[in-house]
Amino acid sequence: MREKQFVFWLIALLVVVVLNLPVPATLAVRAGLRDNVAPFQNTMSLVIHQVSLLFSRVGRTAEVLREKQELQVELAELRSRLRRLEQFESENQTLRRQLGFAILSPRRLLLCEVVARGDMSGWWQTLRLNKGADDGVTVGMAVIGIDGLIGRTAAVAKRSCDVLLITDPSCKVACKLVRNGAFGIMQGAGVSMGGRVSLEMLASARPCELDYVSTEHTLQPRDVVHTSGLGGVFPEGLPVGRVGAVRLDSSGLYQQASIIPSADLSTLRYAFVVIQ
Amino acid sequence: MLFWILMALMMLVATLTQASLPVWAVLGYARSPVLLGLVLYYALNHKLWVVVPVAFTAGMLQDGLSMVPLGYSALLFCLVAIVAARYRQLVLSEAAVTAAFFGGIASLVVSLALYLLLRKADLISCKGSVATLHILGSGILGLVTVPVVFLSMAGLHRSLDLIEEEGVDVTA
Repeated sequence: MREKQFVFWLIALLVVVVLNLPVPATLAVRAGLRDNVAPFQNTMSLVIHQVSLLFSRVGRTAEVLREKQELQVELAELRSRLRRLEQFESENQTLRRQLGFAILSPRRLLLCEVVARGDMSGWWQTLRLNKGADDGVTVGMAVIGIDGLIGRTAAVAKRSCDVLLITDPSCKVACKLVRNGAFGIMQGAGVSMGGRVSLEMLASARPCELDYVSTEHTLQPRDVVHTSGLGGVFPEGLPVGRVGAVRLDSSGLYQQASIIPSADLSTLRYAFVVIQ
Repeated sequence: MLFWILMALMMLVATLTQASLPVWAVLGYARSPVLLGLVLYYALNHKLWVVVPVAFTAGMLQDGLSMVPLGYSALLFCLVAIVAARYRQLVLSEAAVTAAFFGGIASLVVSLALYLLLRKADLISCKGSVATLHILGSGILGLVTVPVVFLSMAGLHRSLDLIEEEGVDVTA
């Protein structure tokens, strides 16, 4: 009985200790946990990806067999091989595009693979990448895709890092309009990982919101928005998105606009961390 | 020994499952509470001194793999486990409806408490409507997920013939 009570009080003490751990110790524990679980997450992510591919292939093959029963086995094999080649070609093109982007970019970029989507608690919109402190990643670095800004690194372990997406309400980005140089602050308003705008029933249908744009500048739908470099987190000139609807804020002193992000956050498989 | 190995393995599987299951906008991006389901399963079927370490570990895993400060979920999971273990005599721990009831309530309460803690620490800045939807979504997912976790765990324990072993070695 005493032994059991000891375990109980030990855990109670542990909870108190953990809640009051100094920041470096917290970071070390967190980093250790992430580094150890990241390989499993990566494996699971790959398995899910492969299984979904397998299902789609099986579905397609069954359809072809139903429609063209007279086809001979050899022809089916050839088609199957052709499909595989097409898949390789598509993958090849994607990788070449990524490689070309990394080479052509004036910045030093670190190519990362997305190993998990979404925060474990569900309160933040995040991605987990397979590169971390060992590769030179630190907290607060900008993360981009081929099409534009994705977010910033929010937590870094040795071999993985978490990216806070620009669509998360906690993520604020200093932006400017390319056409007239007007400045503003963009904040996430919640967009689904499936690429659809979230909470159509309860909240506004704006993926992100650009605030504090001076009324001296005109805002037009489809205006291109880049990072302004102000604030020090995001380097200047990263493409962010395009302007949607424009309106005055409640005080009438500033303009507001909805921003449609350039990067499709739902289909990301690779991302680049901006090292410099 | 097998009991403890299985528990550790299940903890890892639950963590990976929770991280991999999809989230829905209509439920406020709430995550399916698989780890909480595991904690509730042990809380309703085992002695408190087994349950509390499980709850603590599960909470630490959830905190460590998310952006929640370390210890928040661990504390909440421990509290939920203690309350569930205290009132388990009043319910049928094997019944799916018990799992659904405890799952829904616990998930809702944990989500609400976590929201209040995060809000107090100024770590999140979502709108009230989004937070409400998230908390309700957590409750709904708890209703659905926890019975599945209970069924899986009970089936696994039965298939491995661990019921007797638990009774003698672990929970006696």
